[in-house]
Amino acid sequence: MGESMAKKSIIVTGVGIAVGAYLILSFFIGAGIFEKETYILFSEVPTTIDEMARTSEVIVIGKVGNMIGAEYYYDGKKRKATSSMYIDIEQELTGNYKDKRIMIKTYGDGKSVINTAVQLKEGERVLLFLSYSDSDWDGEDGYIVCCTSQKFSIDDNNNMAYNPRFGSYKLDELISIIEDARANRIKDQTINSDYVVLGKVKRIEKEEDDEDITSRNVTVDIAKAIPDYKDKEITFFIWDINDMKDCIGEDKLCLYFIKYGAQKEFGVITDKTAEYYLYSRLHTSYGIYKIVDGKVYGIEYPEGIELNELIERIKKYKGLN
Amino acid sequence: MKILAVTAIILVFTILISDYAVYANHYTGYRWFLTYTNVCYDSYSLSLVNINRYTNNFNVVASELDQARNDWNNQPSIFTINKVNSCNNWVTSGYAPDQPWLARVIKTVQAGYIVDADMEINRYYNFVSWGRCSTPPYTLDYVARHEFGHYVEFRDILYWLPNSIMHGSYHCERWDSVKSYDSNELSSIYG
Repeated sequence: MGESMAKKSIIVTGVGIAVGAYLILSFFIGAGIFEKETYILFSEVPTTIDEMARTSEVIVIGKVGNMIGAEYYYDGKKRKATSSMYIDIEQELTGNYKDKRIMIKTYGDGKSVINTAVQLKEGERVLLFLSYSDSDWDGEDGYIVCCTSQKFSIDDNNNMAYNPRFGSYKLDELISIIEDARANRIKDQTINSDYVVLGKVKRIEKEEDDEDITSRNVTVDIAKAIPDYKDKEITFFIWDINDMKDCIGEDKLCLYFIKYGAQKEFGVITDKTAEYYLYSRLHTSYGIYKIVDGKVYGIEYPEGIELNELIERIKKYKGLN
Repeated sequence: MKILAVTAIILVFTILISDYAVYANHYTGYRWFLTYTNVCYDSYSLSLVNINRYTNNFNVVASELDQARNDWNNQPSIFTINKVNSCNNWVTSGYAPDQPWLARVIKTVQAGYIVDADMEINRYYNFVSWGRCSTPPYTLDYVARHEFGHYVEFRDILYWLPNSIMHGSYHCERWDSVKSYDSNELSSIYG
């Protein structure tokens, strides 16, 4: 009896020591049940498939390659991690990218840092909406896939494309939706604006005398307005003057999408605020297009479009031709 | 020695089942160990956020964050997010142009519990302190309220029902307050 009790005690003590050692070791090396995992979760802008199709620089269908590198950032307050991989391109839908593969980045490394919005697995067939981002950390510069709205997974068995927010589509149907949206670029922007104005900035005024205020009343000398405007110049309100820095300067010709009703739209503002404002969706800079060597560049035309061609499109959408 | 061994076994068992002890539809499976957590606001980077047409407007940004945080704190659940001056969990801002996210939370979990959560606001976008449905600019307290939902440990909802603040993209009616669905689930996790 005494011997049996002693054996039991030895076994219980042994198990206890082993479990204790495992816990202590796991805790200090961050492994086992104490392994650390990091998750990234996003608040996304309220975009649609049509908007993604119109505003993406590159839209690819292809297969995800293996991860070629990961970068990490931590400054004591902010943590970031991205990984890079190639997509072997089967089809590109914008015409803006000619190579057979494209290097992209996504947040997380898929192992210890998980992006909960979108994950890219090696060998997976996907459709991706891509735009180049030049962020404040080099590790996230590039064609980055951050968010749910940017990726459709494609099932090879039935050629169905699925996005958790947008739902399921036959791949052909999704391509058709994307092509239709791209064929109608600038249409929504035109229809939702009262005037599309081509011109140079004549005057920029603050509505309040404060060095930290970012909004301005911008007066533009009109070279062309669609439809015709009553005066030779028009003044509009812009939320952040930094959004139109490419258009400030004597020789800078730009195209502006302008809408009436700044007071109603923004609620606030002062009695000095212009009646018109720069119309845009998702980001305040989306209502401005710069013109360089006769071509117009902006969110829906990152590759540029001939000014005359764009003017004709705008007239058509305004019902003026 | 026996007591030590039994305690260790119970501890391991408790940790292992902690992920499964609570049921909530958009609960990530992880929670804070205590019924509160602390958060700090980074005044430097948050003063770079454009709110109400101004930068260097930290007080307004902080007020928006407080409004969102207190909406969660004012639910019947005992869980609270407290603002303090020094902690591990930071709210900051960063600049990520042309990326379709307004804010994000990066959180670290260990043994079933959250040990660190940081929120970053994307100052590429402009914000206001009053409710807006048409965008841009975006209502900052709506965005922060959704992100604090990630703090208390909910994941995004991507389907239409229920009425919850955890739908993944900006929506003025869903993000303007913590919904009863979210509140009930918060109580089921933390009591």
